[in-house]
Parts: sequence; C-alpha cells; structure tokens
Amino acid sequence: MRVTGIPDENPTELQRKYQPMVTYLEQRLGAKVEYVPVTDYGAAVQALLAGKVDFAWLGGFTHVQARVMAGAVPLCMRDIDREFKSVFIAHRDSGIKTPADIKGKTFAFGAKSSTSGSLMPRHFLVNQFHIDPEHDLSGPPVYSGAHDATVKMVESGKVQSGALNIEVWERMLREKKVDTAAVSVIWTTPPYVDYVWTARKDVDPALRDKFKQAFLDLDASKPADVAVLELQGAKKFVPAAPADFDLLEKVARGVGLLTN
Amino acid sequence: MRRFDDRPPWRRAAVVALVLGSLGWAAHRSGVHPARLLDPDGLSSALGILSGFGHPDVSGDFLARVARLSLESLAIGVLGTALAAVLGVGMAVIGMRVPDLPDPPRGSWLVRAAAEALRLGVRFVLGVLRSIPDIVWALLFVRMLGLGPGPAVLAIAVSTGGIMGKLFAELAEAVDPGPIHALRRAGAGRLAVLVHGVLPQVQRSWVAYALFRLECSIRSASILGVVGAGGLGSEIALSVRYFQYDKLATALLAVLGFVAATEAVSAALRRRSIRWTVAVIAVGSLASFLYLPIPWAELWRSSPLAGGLSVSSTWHVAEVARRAWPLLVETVAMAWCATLAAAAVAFLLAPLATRALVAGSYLRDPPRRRGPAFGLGLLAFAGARAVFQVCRAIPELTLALLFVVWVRPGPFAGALAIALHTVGVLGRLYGDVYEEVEPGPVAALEATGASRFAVWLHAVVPQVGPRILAFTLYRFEVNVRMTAIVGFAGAGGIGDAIQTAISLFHMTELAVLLAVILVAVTVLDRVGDQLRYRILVARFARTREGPRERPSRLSRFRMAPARAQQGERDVLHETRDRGGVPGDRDERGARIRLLGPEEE
Repeated sequence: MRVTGIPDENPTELQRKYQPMVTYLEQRLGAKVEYVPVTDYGAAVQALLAGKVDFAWLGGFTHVQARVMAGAVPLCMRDIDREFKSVFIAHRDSGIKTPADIKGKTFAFGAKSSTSGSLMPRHFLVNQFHIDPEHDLSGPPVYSGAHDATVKMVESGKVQSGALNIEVWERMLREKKVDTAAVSVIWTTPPYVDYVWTARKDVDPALRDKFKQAFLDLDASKPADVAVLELQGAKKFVPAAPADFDLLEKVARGVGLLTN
Repeated sequence: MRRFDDRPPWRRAAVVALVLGSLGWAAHRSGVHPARLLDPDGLSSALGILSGFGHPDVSGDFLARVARLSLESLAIGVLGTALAAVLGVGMAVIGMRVPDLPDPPRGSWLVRAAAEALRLGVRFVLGVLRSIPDIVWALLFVRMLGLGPGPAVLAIAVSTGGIMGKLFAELAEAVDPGPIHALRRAGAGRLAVLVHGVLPQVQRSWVAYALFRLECSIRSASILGVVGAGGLGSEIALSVRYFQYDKLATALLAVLGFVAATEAVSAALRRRSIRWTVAVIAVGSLASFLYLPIPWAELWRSSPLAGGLSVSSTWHVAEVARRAWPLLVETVAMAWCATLAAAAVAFLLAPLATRALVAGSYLRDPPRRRGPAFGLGLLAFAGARAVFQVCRAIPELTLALLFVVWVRPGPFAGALAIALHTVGVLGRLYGDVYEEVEPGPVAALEATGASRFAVWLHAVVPQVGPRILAFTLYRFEVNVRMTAIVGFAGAGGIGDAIQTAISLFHMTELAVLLAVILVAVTVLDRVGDQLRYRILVARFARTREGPRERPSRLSRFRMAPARAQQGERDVLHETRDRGGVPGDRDERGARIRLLGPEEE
C-alpha cells in the first residue's frame, strides 16, 4: 500500500512527520506501507489519479481537484482541520498594519495550489479587502513554494508581506524559528475546512474504512499514540464528508483556480 | 569591405535606430530596473549568496550527498543524450528527403503521398519535441513516473532528440549529391543510398554535434531536479528556497567541476576518430543505464496525465490565447534585451579572451614578448576565459533561481539570468571570431607598432561584423526558448504561466501555451534563417560579379547547395557554441565555404 502527502514544508520536516505515522499504519493494517515523496502539490494529486498511491494527505483545494478530476473520496481529518485558519504576516519595516495596507506592496503566497497559503488568502484579499493580487500589488505575487519558505522570505525582507498556514506559523513560533522582531501577524482569517486524508475512488471500501478507523482510533490518552498525534499537530482525528468541501470548491471556482 | 557596399547610407542609421528603439521597448516590457541590482535589499542578497562561497558546506555528509547527486546528473546527461541520438537518427532517417534523385519517382501516387505525409508528420513531431523546453517535459514526466532520475532522462531524450533529429535531417539533405546519383545509376535501392551514399558523408558532423549536445545535456541535467527529476537540481533549489548559501555554494562548485570535466573529455574526444566518441558514449550510457534506478515499467503502467487531458474545461481557447499574447511578447522582449545586453558586454570583453590580441600576435614571425605587460596580458586572457567559462557552465535556470533572490521574482530576473549565461556563450564565440580573422590587415597594423586596442578597433572589428551579427541573431533564437525555461524559477515570461497551468491542472491553458511556443519558435527559426543567410551570403553575393545568389524561398528547397549552406550554418553555430577550437577539419571547411564570399 502506498501513501503520499502534499509537500507543504521542507523534505526533512516531512520525513520526520511521516515516519511514525507510517509505522503506526503498518501495525494497524498489517500491511507494508510505503510513503512516496513528491515535490509539488499537483504531483500528489496526479499520483492519486494515476493510481500510484492509494491514499493521500491532501490540502482542501488539492482534495477538491482530486474530487473533480477523479472522484476521490474524503476519509478523515484532524480536529484542527475543521476550523483551519491562515495568518497574514508582514515585515516590521513595511508599514503594513492590516491586510488593506498590502495594496501597492509586495506579497508572497505559498505553493500555487495550497489552500491555506494561496487559495484562501487570495479569496480574502479579493472578496474582503478588494485587492486583486494580479494588479494591485507591487509587481506580480510571489509564490514561495512552501509555508516555512514564505516566513523566511518575509523575515529576510525579500517580500514585504505574505500569508501562510496558521499551524506552521505557530509551530515555528514555538520552536523559535522566526525572528519576531522582524515579522509579525497582521491578520488571522476566519475558519475554513482544510487538510484531509483522501482515498482513490477504486480502493476497496473495506480497506478504506480500516484506514479511516486507524486514524479515528488514535487516542491522546494512550502514550503510544501521542507521538503520532503530536507530529500531526492534532488532538484527535474526525470523519470527513464530501459535503464539507463544497464551499471550498465554490471559492476555488470563484477566484479562478479551479477551471474544470 | 564597406567600399563594395552599394546601399544608401541612411540604412545604417535606420538599423541602429531600430535596434536601440527595440532595446528600449524590450527593456521596458521586461521590467528592467538596474537600480534593483544595487539597492540595499538586492546588495545584501547578492552578498549573502557570494559569502556562501567563502564558507561552502564541506561536512562529510553533505559532500557525499553532492558527490552522489553529481554522479546522478552526469549519468542522466549521458543516458539522455544516447537515447536522444537514437531517437534523432531514427526520426531523421524517416523525416529527411533524399537529396534530389534524378530518376522518376517509383511507386504509385498513393504510396508516394503516404510516404510524404509520414515525412511531414515526423518533421512536425520533431518541431514539437524541440520547441517544448526540457523542463516542461521533465515536469510532465515527473507526474507520470514519480520522483527520480527517470523523468530527467526522458525529458532530455525527447527534447534533445527533437533538436538532433531536425539538424541531422538537414545535414543529410545537404550532402553532395554526386555519390547518390552514382549509386542510383548503379541500381541501388533507398536503403543502399542511405547507408552508402548519405551516412558516410554525414557521420562526422552527426557525431560532432551529438558530442556538443552531450555537454548541453549534462549542464541541464544539473538543474532539472528543480521539478523533482533527480540529480543536483533539487538540492540547488532547496538551498536557494531556504537561504542556505553554504550548501548552495558547494552544489554550484560541483556543477562547475563536472561541467568542466565533461568539456575536457569531449575536447579530447574531438581530437580522436569518431569511433572513440561512439565507444565512450556507448559504454557511458550502458553504465548509466545500470546505475540509475529508473522504474521503466512504470512508463507503460501509467496513463499519461491521467485525468488531466480528458477533462476539457469550459475555458474558451480564444480567451486563453488572448491572455497568452502578452506573455509571448514579454518572452520575446526578455530574450531580445538579454541578448543585446550580453552581446555588448561580450563584444567588449572578448578581445581580452583573444590570445592573439592580448598575449600573442597576428604576425607570422612575432617578436618575443616578455616583461610585466606580457604577464598582465596573459593574466587578462586567463581571467576573461575563466569568466566566460563560469557563465557558460551554469545553466540559465540555475542563474534565474539566484537572480530571483537578488532582484525579486519577475521578468527582470529572467532577463538577467539569460544575459549572464549568454555573455559566457557569446564571449567565447566572439573571441574565436577575433582570433580567426584574415591576418593580413591586422598584422600590417600591428607591425606599425599600433596599440593593441587600436589593432582590435581598426583591423579586427571591421572584418567581423557579419559573423558577429549572425552568431548574435542565432543566440537570440536560442534565448527565446530559454526564456520559457527560466519562468520555472518564477522569473517571468511564458514559462511561469506554463508552470502554473501544469500545477493547477489547467490543461486547456497548457495546451494553448505550448502551441503558442511552438508557433513562435517555428516562425523565429524561419525568419532567423533568412536573415542570417542574407547577412552571411546574399549581401556579399550582390556586390560580386556573376549571377546573383539571392535565395528565393523556392530555390532554397530545390537546390542542394543552398540547403547545404543552411545546414552547415546550423552545425557551425551549434558546434561553435561549445566554445572550443573546431577540431574537425570538415567543420573548418564548412565554415570557410559558408563564410567564403568575404574571405575568398
């Protein structure tokens, strides 16, 4: 059985996050589980479509892509994914205090098909702050490729502002990987649905349920499970339904990221 | 030379005005802000990158990793080129028109029409393969095969295969028709004509060109990993993304090292018979095949772009094309101002890289030179050559990754990357042109004791105009293709849009963008061919006695000699891209035949 996940952080970090989970899954499912690394978000979707992997840890938007193109099925998500948020950050010297100030400044998204680093920030910029990223910024928007890279870009002053996944931001704060003298949060978005374990359409439903149950059974009170949950940044996993992503699909069509 | 020029003087002024005007326009379209290079932001980024070279990461772990990935890049380049050669020869054989056979065509019209359709079909496929940049192929193959060196090998095989196939076919169509007529009169069939009439005449230039492409492939294999296609590229991209300049420095030094090693090997091979080259490439590609972990079976298992192409969207093609137009204009503008800027720099730096000018002499029996001035000359020569070498060794995409950090993402970064690489290519090329001028006037001036600068300005420069112009134009055509590549680093142009289209699964948009590139490259090729022909041949033919050699479009397709010149011109330019002294007598001969009208 093969699994993959969108590469939303640097490869070393991803390896660290996936290893304990793979071991846990092997234990629970009694089968060999192989983690297939990919370099861009689209490749994770493609791997699912082409049947190279059976399950993928996708972002909300990549899940919608997989659903639209190949009827992929949502299984389960972390408790935090039901109410996920993005943070807008800015360099202290940029003079940006609220997202409205971003007009005329430089701005960095994460990967092009990231939900929390591209789709939702774009949605809020356009629909709430009436800033068109293609025309109202200083130059075209920058795509850093990953959430932590966005932080590094803003921190170094390369880009004046940016938006990223709140979970990555908070972890970087905890681990003191951010220079808080240089960069700070200017706005936090309202909650939306994000990351989800997704199954290929033609995976045997029994296996699908077993996979899902393995995650739902993770229990923060069991010491053995804590390691897995902590690395995922979750207290527990909860079931996910297709309808959860309808709003996201509408947003994606609205801002032109989803065209088919 | 100018005395024979019968054109009205205002034409020169008009051309100069046109070039300067277009340069201004192109610079504007590419968002050129020279100030950004030196503003505090830019400067600190540049210093950051440079300081990495002060303390490269030399920890054992990382060195081992870089060594392994360098070997992988090398193997990718070798295997990719070998596959490209097989593909190129195969398609050239199907796609070429056997040089004018004297006898009436055989077979029914149906058979002939089918054969002609097949030939045109293959030519079209070759055009598609070579117009789509290797990085796009690599990304598409990564999607099909997954991460690893396999996609890079295939990407090089198809894009270089397309380039080789086109050139191989043109060279074969340009052979001396004598032996073919003789074979035909003896009753030889098509296969015999091919094997005994065509192949013996083209094998040297085919092999020389393949060797040149090998160097290019290895260079590009060092960076295709940006999209996950194996080799050093992913390491370079990650170290740039996370500002780890010590790691970046180590990786770039490794690239310089293995590119220089490859050039040394191929220079050695050029001095030997072609059997050596064939043997080395054969052994190398077998070793690479065994070394690289490529899941070949996956190729057949995976449906290409599963799901992607089948979902045709509601987008109107016209709407997408309308949005592609400004991107195409931006791409051409970037290539144009990068080429002109690089040409200006290279033109002025190249005298330093000309041995005869700074550390030698054009005189037949030069006086012995010694002393500090001579030492300084040698130093300048070595320095200029080294600068050109480094610029050439680092691929455009790698440079683009760095310039994106330096001057922020956007077309300016892309134009800078292309300009810097082009300085390396053209500088070396111009140096060779300066070196190989007609020695008479130069020696005469030198004998009067004129300064080196005066010798260059008054004796060398007046001789080299057309050739310098032709090389520069040719490079412009190449750079248009390269501009589509640097977009993958976020450096503007149509490549940026292609990458977005692939990553967001906007397949209709992707198809339209690729079609736009295909058309643009084809049109530029044609226009460039005509222009270079006029610059190098027709202009001088007009001023000479005898029938004018002005090429009508038809005559170029009917007459073997005209085609010969075109094919040779290509191989000349491409092989001279490598910068080495042409070791192949045939190429030298070809060059003299081609450039003859001004030298005879």
